[in-house]
Amino acid sequence: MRLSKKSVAALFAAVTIAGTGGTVVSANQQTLTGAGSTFIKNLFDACIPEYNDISNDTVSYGGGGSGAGRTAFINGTADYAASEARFGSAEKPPADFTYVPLIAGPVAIAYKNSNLTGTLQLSPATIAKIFAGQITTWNHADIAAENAGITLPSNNIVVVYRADSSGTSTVFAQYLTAAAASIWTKAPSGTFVNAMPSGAPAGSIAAPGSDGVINKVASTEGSITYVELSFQKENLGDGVKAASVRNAAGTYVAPSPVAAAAAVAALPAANYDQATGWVSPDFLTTVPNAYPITALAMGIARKTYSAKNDSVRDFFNYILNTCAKAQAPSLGYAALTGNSLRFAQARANTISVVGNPALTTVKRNQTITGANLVAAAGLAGTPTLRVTKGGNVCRVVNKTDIRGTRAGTCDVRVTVGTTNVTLKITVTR
Amino acid sequence: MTAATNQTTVVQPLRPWRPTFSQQFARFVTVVLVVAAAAVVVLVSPLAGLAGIALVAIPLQMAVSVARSSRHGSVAARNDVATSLIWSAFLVLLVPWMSIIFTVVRRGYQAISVNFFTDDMRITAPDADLASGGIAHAIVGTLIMVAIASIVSVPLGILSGIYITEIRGRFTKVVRFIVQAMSGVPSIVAGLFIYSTLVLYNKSYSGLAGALALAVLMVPTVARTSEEVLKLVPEDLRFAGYALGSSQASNVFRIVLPTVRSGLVTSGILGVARVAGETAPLLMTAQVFLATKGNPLDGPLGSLPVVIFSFFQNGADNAVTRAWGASMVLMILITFLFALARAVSADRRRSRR
Repeated sequence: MRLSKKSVAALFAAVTIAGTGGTVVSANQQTLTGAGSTFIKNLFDACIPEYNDISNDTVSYGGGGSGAGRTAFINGTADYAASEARFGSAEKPPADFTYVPLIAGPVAIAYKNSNLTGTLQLSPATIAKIFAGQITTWNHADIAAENAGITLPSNNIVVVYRADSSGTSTVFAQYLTAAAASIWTKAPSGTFVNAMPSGAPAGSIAAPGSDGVINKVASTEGSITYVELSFQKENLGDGVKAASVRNAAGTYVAPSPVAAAAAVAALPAANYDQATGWVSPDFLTTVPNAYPITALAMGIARKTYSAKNDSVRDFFNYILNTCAKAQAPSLGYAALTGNSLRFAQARANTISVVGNPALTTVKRNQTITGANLVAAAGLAGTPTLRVTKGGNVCRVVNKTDIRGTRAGTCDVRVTVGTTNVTLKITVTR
Repeated sequence: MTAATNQTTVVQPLRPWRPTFSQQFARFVTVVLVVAAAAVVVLVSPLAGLAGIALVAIPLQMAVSVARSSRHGSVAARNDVATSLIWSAFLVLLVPWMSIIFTVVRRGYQAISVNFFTDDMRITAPDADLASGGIAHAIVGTLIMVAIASIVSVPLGILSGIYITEIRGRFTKVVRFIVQAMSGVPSIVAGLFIYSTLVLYNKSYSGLAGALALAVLMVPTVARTSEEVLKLVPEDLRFAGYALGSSQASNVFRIVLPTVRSGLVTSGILGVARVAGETAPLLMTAQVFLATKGNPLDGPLGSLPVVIFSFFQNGADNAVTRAWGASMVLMILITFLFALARAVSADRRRSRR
């Protein structure tokens, strides 16, 4: 092989040029960096290319786990994040953040036992005892009592759990705390081993990531774990099944997008946090066909206006209104509908509005709604408006709106409760 | 003694250790018989597969070699034992190596197409049809980051090698100690270091940050290898240079370095090989990016190892095939860079002579 310097340079150039056959990002398009939940990653993997295609933006999502995503969002290295767990008390998120519920999905109790035919039925107490190490064989009396028609093999139960800090672990531990408090006596934690009442059971296996735990289960006879439904479905061929879980109504429900959607649809109003946008799952749902271990993944974004944040809002809206509906069923998620969707859309529309010039600019003889002014001020509620400067440029109409009377600028004080924010309004011809 | 003959005979050196044809044939037949016997044992016993055959055949071959010693003497026997040991070790080592290449090619070849090299994943989902999308963004990103890392670390590494072997200054021991300590730094720590400095300072992931994290890992490899290579230069050569009145600088740059050019190129190659497949530090510094871009300063940058990682994480069949395809491309790319560097160093030396 004889190569001169020139031919080497030419080769590199050729490789580079071949590379640019793809899409090249130009300056006026937005590039969004995201990180966080692996629970939602398969949905993002499907939705991001679609959104990139229609928007000319380039959105990327790095995954890494809910905790890593929240940290990246706080540090400003991620433009948006996704998480199934709230910001912790030690975390200091930017003041203008909002949660936006994006998708729901069932966490399946996945197991592999080739001698066990039929579908296993488990109550919250039995699940808690298995993961706490109090039930160690498949033919334990508690399991037998719930599975009358099934012959149970006598081999040992191998508990497989997430080694990394994970939103799925948090949700599962929260579920056990809520539904089997007498057995699951430890506080929920993203690191599952810290949430196990008496530490990791003997013979249990820790594996990183959803793909890690499910591969362990697929290769270990007699093992059981908790994992997003889509991962269990992918390993159905290896004999990994999902147990039906008894909900608070007393019905055994198999994990499915439909059963998760039923749980989300029945969420009481108290579970919607109007202040932050957080939606808590209801693990004690009494709807007969609802699957109780249903997690909600939240997007995290900023309310302050910027071109990037505008793109984040468009991206979240695209997921809520278009992509989730089309992709969710095949990926094992439940798209938000009804109340939860309306709540999510309202939250998404608070992204990138604080200080947005489009909300504080009005044509002569037209009005800005009070709702827009409240959003631009970063507040929530019904405002009291007062023109504090430039009274000949704009005036208050209908008590809650601002009408521009001639070109110029004016200051409007927006008061909600005891908070005042003064906005500069521009009136154009 | 009479001088009966004037004939000169060319004396052939005796090589008693060399086996005759019949001996070689016998040895070959023995090996075939041993392997066949092992296969039979595997068939009738609970042992299974190639590993089972190897497990039976290797000790059996040893036993046969020792048994033959009664006929061939102890030296031949020891020779036979050593030969079969070395050959078995070679074959055992060959198995995982071939297995890796075979597996990667078998599972990844379906992903290889023109668009795999010219397209990126900006508007293609990982589980979409293999006829769309590609890893151009990752190839370009890896080339950019490895290039920057090499530009930073190869001169630095070679210079520290020169300091240790040629200048031998006051800090020789300190430099060598630090280089050795650095070579033990886990890659994720290098990533964390750049993350906590450059990435947090800029509030942005970037290709440059990724390249610098790789450079941190590359420097000790290059420095240690070039030190070893420079040690091979005979002292006589240096003395000869000084005797001709050269300064230390011209001695180093005109005598020592040209002598070991190909060795220094190897040190660079080893450095590249060390970092080209690193995933953890890049996840923290360059993160992921789906579109092709050439600017390492502006935001995250895709790379082959990270792309492989995220394809595997997706888990869908097509995504996993893409991951194997990307692994194959990464292997080929590194082999290509090796060949390139070899060719370049060989070329220059030839033209000089």
